[in-house]
Amino acid sequence: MYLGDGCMDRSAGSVARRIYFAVPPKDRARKKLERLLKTVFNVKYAPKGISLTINSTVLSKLFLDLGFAGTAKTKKIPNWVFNLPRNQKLAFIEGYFDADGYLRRTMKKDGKQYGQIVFASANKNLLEDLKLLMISVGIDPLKISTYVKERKLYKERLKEYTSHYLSMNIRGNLERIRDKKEFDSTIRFVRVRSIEPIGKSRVYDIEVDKTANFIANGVVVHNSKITMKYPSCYLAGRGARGEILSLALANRGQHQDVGGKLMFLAPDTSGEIISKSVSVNGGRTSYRGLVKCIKGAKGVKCNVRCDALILDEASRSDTYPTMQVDEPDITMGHEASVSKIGEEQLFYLMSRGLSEVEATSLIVNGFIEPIVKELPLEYAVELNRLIQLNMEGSVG
Amino acid sequence: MQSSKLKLEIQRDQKKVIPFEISESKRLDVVLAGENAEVEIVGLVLGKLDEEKSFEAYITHVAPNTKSNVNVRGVLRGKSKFDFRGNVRIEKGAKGADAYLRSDVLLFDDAKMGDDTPALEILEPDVKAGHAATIGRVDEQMLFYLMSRGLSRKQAEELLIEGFVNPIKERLKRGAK
Repeated sequence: MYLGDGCMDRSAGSVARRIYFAVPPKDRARKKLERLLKTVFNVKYAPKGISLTINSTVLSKLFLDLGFAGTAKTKKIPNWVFNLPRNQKLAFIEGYFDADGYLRRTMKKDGKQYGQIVFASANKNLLEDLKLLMISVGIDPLKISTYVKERKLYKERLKEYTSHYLSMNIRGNLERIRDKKEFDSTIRFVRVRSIEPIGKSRVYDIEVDKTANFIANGVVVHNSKITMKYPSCYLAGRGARGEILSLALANRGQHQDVGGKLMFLAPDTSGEIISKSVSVNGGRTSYRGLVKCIKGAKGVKCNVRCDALILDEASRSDTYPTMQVDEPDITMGHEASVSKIGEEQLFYLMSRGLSEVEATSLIVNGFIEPIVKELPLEYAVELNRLIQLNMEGSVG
Repeated sequence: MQSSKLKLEIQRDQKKVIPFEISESKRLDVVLAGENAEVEIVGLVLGKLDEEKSFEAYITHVAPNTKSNVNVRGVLRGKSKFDFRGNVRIEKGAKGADAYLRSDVLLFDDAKMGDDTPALEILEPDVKAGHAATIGRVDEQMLFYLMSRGLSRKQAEELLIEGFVNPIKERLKRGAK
């Protein structure tokens, strides 16, 4: 709560003496604050205007030591908060909500609670911290929006207030908090809503040792030099079917080490892996797959197909499929081909009036078509354009 | 378990056929070092009881217009186990290389296919390379057809296995021709 509405007074010797909480007497949070101050800290407080003042060097020092120093614009969530257990993190968010949070457009419809919880602050970094904290306990905050307000002061002077708002939808989140549900580990897809140009700035490519992952801004990321991706299907129930579609495009300096795993653990399961990889401009693609069939998984049917296309001299393509079969009563097949774009194919298309680049990207599109046709239309269109973009200037 | 290793370098315009029956664990290293060099590897694995066999083939194409063909077939019965690791590497500059890696295995009883990895590493775009692997039983439909012609299940199975193994056996008989 201090984070939101609190501030500190320092004496000349830079010893903190006094703490203020700017909570108006009418605010619902005032009572809670008074109660907390009495029961937790057992300190005396005195109302002063709209705020409460506490004359206590000890309390001030405690707050300083906890890392809550700073003014309205420089306060931040101290690092130790991020290491707290989940329920304490939630309590922290709740406390902050008492100070800077409010409800917006709340309504009940069909027994479901709609609306948003909004956190407002002049300190954007603080909200960024809060957003990370919220993500870490499984709440999905929305993005932070910024508004600039002008307020007229006396003598015709204008003052600009910049405030930032971090909002989150209530639906779903509340249930997750109330039921103390753990962060669900399923991966979700979120559609990109809009892309805003923010100008040019330096971009860093952070790498960690070997194949370790690291967390940046709340998102688990891995080294970008080698992209590794092995989605796996564990076919554990009778009759289950798993399909893995994999598409890799490696451009200059990239190594896409991708593939998939199918584990057949139950009878009558079936599966398919289709992998298509394209190497261009010195990129390297590797297919690495594992198909495993345990004893007793009778009647398993599996088909693996991995094709690679190499577009120029500098590129490379590898295939490392592995099959481990402990059950005789199965059928399993694997097929792969590696090729370059045929001169005749190119010549034919070019004789029909296409440029070399157009012809190449047409052939590449044809090559990956079996995967693209499984995608929703909008993604497919996006993907085709992406490939076209990557092809530009790649030939000749 | 016995194991044997064989290293070969095939020179310009040479053609070599390496037929063998895999009776233990075997490793084969072939380098296609000269232009137009060709290698054909034909292997047959018959596993029974609790035999464990393995075959590793490492083929490296260095020179242009080289050709390699690996064809391994196996019939595994009892509690036998077979590992196949194939690796075809086509170095940069081996233009026009043609590589094919194939393994087909029929499993019966409690047999296992331990590790079936036909890998390709290709550093040169101007090539033709492929690999294929199948593991499983004899085809149910073929069995059904033969049985509908009056054969017993066992007879039909024997016939299909014979058909599966014979081409390789023939090749082995003709030897390194």
